[in-house]
Amino acid sequence: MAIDSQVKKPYYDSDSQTSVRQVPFDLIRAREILWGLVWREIKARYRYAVLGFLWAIIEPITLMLLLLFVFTFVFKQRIPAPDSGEIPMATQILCGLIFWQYFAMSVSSATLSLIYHQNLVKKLYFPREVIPLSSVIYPIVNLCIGFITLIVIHLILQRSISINILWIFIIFPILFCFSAGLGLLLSAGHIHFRDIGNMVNVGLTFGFYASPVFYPLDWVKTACENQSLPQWLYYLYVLNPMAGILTNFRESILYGKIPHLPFLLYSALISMFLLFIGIYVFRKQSATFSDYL
Amino acid sequence: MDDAIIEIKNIVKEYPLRRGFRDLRGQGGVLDWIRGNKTEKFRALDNITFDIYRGETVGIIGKNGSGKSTLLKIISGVTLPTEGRVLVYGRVASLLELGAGFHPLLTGRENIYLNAGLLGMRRAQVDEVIEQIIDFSGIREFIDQPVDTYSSGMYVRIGFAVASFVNPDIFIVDEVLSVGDEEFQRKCRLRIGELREQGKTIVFVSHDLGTINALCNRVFLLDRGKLIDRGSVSGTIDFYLRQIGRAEGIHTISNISKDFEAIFSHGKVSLFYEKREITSPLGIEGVTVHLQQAHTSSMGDWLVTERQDQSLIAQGSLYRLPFQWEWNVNIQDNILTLSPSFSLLKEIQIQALEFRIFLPEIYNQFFYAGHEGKFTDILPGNLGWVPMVTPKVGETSAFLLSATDDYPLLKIGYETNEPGLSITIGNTDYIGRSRFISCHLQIPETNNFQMSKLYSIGKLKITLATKQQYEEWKSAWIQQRTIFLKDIELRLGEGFIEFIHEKSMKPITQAVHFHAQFRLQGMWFLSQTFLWQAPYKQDNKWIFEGESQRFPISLKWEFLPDANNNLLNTKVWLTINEDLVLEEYNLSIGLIYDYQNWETQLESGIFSEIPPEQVEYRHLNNDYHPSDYIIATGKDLPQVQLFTKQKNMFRMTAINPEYSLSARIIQAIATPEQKSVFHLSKGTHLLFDGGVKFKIGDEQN
Repeated sequence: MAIDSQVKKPYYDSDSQTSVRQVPFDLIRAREILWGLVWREIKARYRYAVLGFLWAIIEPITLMLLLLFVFTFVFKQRIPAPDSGEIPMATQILCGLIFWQYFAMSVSSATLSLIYHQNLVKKLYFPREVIPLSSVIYPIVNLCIGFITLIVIHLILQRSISINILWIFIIFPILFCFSAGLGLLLSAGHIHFRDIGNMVNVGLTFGFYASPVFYPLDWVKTACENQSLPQWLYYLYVLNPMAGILTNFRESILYGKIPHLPFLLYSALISMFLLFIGIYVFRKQSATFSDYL
Repeated sequence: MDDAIIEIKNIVKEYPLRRGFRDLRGQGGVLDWIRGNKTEKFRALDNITFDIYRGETVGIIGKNGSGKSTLLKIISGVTLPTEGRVLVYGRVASLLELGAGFHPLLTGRENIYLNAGLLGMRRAQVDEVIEQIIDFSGIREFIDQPVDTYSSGMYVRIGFAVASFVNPDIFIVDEVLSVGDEEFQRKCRLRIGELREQGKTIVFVSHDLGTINALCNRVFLLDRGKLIDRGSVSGTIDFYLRQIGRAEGIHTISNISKDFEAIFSHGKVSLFYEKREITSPLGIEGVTVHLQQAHTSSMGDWLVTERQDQSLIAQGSLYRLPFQWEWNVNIQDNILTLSPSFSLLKEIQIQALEFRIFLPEIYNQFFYAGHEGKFTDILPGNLGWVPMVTPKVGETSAFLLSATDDYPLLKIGYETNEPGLSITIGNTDYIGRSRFISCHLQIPETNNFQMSKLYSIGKLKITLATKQQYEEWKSAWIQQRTIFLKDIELRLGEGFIEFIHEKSMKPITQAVHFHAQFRLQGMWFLSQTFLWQAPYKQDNKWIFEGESQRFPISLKWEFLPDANNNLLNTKVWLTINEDLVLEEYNLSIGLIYDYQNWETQLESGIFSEIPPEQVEYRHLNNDYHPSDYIIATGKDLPQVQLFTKQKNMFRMTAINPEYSLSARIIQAIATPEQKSVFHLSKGTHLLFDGGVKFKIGDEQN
């Protein structure tokens, strides 16, 4: 029997279904399924919308204009206008928005993805990782469109762009790993505790305000230094990896600076750790997901 | 085992309680967890071990909730066993997931790619077969429309088409045959047959025990998560039927020596000889035809009301018809008798009743109505039932012969006083893969059966016969239809007579033999196409009557043999029910090719060689005046003379027919007086008065 199983390589072995080491191989085998799911989502989302991909521009621009209106007219008097350099508020907000929206869309759709695709999970065998991963991949399309819009507006307003923008190829993978790790973890949890779906909504709304999305990190820093807020709150604030990630995006795209390295390192470590935990927990649970659907 | 494709080792599957707010408290909740109490889990599969080998068709049966679906899920990898291990050495596709993962907003084509990808196909592989998939689905014109515009039927079609072309090693089929229309189900069954033929492994779950029985090599029965294997397929199924409390519809009877057994099971009778099943899995069934719909007896609720060792009485009401069977089955020595009767619960029109006996393919020969025939092979392309013989009036029994001695010779007959019984013998389609013998009792429309009255409709008799009995029966059959002259035997066939030279026992007639033909409305009708009754004897005369199936005419042949003179006096009458224009008619004898010379009252000639390119009848006469006789002679062959007593009535003609018949024909062609046709009034007309005379060897010259 021992010789037998060495000679014949099984196509499917129930024992290897919970092995974390198998994940990369399984994903390579299932890459076409992953692309299929991503394409299916993209096509289905935009095919029958008259404005199609324009929505990927309209949405952040509208939100940006709204926030711009709120901060420049409504709260102008109350909030001390810090020195934000020459970078206009419009691009600052847009830059925060597109990356935040990518993150929020990824995490919320990944969390619900297993339920959304339950007819696949209940009926077919394939590495389950592809489902939350596809949810983290397809919003990249929106992000790209938003990013191009941002660059166009930035060029119109500033007429210059720095080579340091290339840092996004380091920062974005960190954001991607963070989203993917969180997505895997939350989707696996959501199968067992449907409360997590609600928690994610609350958490993302909280995060939207508690991360430097529509205001720069400097505002928080300044507020704490001015003693209008306690100092420890700032340290708590930057524990959120999104604070560093979003700030670094602003630094490299809008300011043309090299990213803030401690932030970069910290967010990278947190993201890698979260991704690993996500993969581990997901893999240990994934083979029996169908029992809970 | 080397060729095990699925190995299932000590599998246990437990479903934990569902976690949620409520379950944090109470039994199985957090407090129990803290206290260390173990909670009761639902055990769906309990220590199951088996292997499935390459190329097998395995059925899984069991009650609802017995763990069938869980087992399939574990095999296909959808879920994991709690304990134990599953190894699968091949790609699995399940036909139950027709259209799983279809996105309603994507087009049919896009969904094919996606679905095939989920079933494990690479995009390039799909590119190769995409056109075939579209063709198979049969909805090419809608293929670029989003699938949410499809009907559910189209959805299933496209899903099935994809699953068919994914080409995995293992197919899992779960109740798929119960969805879709008749046509689709047939297509599925056919496809499953093909897959089996290609050596694919099929795991099959169904409640349709008949299909399981017909398709599977092995059957596993699941009972509350435990595996029960009763060896044979039918053994397991019988056990299952008992288990699900349908045992009241099952009873086994046998003869005293216990070598001939019959198992009655819910409207189906299976026969066993020396413990070997001699009927095919389809057994023996009754069929009620109502409004063109056939209702088989197994589609009913049955109850065995009387159980004896050698006999039983069972009552069954059909599910979809207010019709109640009562079967009285008994075995005496080597004869099984099934005496059916029925009653109606409502007054409905019954069109026909039928008994079908299904035998395995090993039965490959039959003898029916004087015809000894061989069954053709049942090929994968056979989609319908293929009859081997056409029914003959009055022929109510047949012999079935098997290729090996293990399967006894069977005589199957139906005894009834009702007219309208016909027997058909043939092959079923490829899925059934059986020989069938159908005893079909047509019920006239005028027949009105009263409600709740028991009508008895004859007896089906199945006899285990010996070779000797068969030979005796066969020769008796021949005797009954043979007229013996001194040197010639005349064998009465269906509307023709074959001449056999007794000395050599070789036929001297060929092709059409001795027959009559008519031209009506510009078309020729041979007496062979009439429906003939068995010949009977009246004094010294043989009477042979047949009826046209197309025109209101019937023929009566009267033969008066004069054995010593080798003479057969023949009279032919035609009875018509309405006035009729008979354009032409003749009596002909098709002789073997070796006949060389012919001679009439007026002239003589030779039968010339027939060139291969000849495709029509060619008259050899020069003188076409009516005459009294025509003689054909050949070397070492009896001289045959066709003569008439009616003066100036027939033109005696010698004919070389088309090459392929390889025959010589002598013919008496009726010549209408003056008029070019015969106007016949209603009544009986003498068409021919004359006969055939033979002379042997030294008598000649």
